[in-house]
Amino acid sequence: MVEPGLIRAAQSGDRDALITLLREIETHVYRTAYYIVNNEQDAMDAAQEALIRIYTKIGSYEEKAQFKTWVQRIVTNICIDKFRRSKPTVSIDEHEMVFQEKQNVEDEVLSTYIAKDIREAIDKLPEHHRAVVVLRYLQDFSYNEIADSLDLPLNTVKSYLFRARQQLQTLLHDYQKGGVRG
Amino acid sequence: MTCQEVMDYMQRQLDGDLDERETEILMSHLKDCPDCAEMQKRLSLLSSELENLPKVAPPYSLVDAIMPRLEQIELQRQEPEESVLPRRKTPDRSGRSWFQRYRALSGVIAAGLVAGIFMLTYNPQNLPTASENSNAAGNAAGVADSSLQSNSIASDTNQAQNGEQQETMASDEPTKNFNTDAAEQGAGVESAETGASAPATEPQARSFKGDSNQESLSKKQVTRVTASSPDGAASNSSGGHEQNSKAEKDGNGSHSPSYSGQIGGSKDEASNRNSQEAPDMGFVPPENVDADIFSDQKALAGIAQVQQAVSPDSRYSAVVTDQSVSIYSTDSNELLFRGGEREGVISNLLWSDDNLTLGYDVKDSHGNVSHYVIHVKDGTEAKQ
Repeated sequence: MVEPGLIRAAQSGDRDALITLLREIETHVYRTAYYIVNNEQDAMDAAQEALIRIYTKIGSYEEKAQFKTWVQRIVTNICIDKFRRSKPTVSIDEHEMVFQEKQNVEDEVLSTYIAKDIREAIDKLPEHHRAVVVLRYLQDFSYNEIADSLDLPLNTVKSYLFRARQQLQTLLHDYQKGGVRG
Repeated sequence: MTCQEVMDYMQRQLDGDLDERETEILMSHLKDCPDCAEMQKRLSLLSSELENLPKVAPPYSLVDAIMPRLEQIELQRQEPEESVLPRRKTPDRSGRSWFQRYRALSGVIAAGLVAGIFMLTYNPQNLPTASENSNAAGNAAGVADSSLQSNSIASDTNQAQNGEQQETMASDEPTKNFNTDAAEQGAGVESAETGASAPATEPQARSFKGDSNQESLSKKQVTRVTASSPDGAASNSSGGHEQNSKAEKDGNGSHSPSYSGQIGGSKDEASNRNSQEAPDMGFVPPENVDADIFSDQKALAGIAQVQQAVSPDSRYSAVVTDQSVSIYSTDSNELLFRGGEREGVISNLLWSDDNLTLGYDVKDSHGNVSHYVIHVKDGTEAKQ
């Protein structure tokens, strides 16, 4: 959590304060970038670009918004706009009715998913769904904070998050079936 | 309550969004519905796995990594406020060391550029090879151009003495060991221009996707040009022209068979030559690379099909791509406007001083020149 005093100092032209502030947020910025672009090098590039943008635009931040959502808005925009890849993502609607499938309960082993599988699955989500998941789980944002960061209506945030989780659950379930039990 | 409605509750429960009554409803449903209970187990497992994803951190400090660029931004911000003289007296040390690094780099790039030009000119009939080279050289030209721009500012800062700027340039830098003659003289000429009057060179061949430091630096340069002499800034050829004449005057263009002689006739002639010839790759072998480094870059830029002009206030950047002119926001790189496709060669991108319009010329295959004007705010484009 960045101190409001530090933000105000940075906004009033205190360059040292601004640099300190950037140092405080760089890990958060990087983490979001890392999980959205799913690649260390692109994440470094995106995060650096975000920090430079924050540096140049600090004057345009208004206190009525939370600083952390303002920051996350910048980094998610950069990740989505600049590092958009052409690789296909799964259509989220295909799996909407997954819940209706008869789950095979008796021989289901609930084992721990490995982080790599989860990252791969997140990477398959459409961009905004991915961003919602990242903000919810890596930045610990509330629905409202996510809505502010991504400039989406609250209901859209919920629906993206819910669908994304269902989607992830399905993908990981498939991995498990394919990987563990052959 | 249907299972689908319960699903919503399950999801909200994961986010701590259920009140007591809703939690009760959910629990009682889960007790009676094994499918939902199973799903709930899976989802909460997933959710806790997501919570436990590694909290990655950057492998090195990002702020440290961007520090040179931030300093660059600061320099750029200070520039409009300070006159040239005080800045010479108090050079920013860190900024200066940054420039010096790029000065050295410019030599290397210029050397590559020279090599590229020779490869091009000695294989004029070998098209595939030539085009490959031209891409590489075109990129090099972009970078070299902006580094030379950096040079000019660096020398601007360093120069205390006003008299013989070229000598200053040639003697004050240890880094010049890395430079080829071409780079030194090219940079020298450029610095002379900068010192003496507004820099006349429009950096036409700028690395389009280049490092934003270099790009912003060049932008600044363009801004200055435009402010002092909109005419010179706009005419892409004037840089080369004036450059050459300056070089010759100063005795810098010491190699006799000069490309500049051919190009130096008139501004229009020069620009037409460049833009027309470039796509054909049929440009005249530049034996005198030193004095013509800027003209050559323009020719190469023509091949690479990158022309760019930044608005006086640096907010917009106009780029020629695929036979049309696009305007981007320099801050966000967002495409603001894309003009219609033109049959012919687009040249002479010129911003109005009020940043509202961008004019350009299109020369068709019959040599007829049409002038178009883009209104940035309205997003319209009209032939005039």
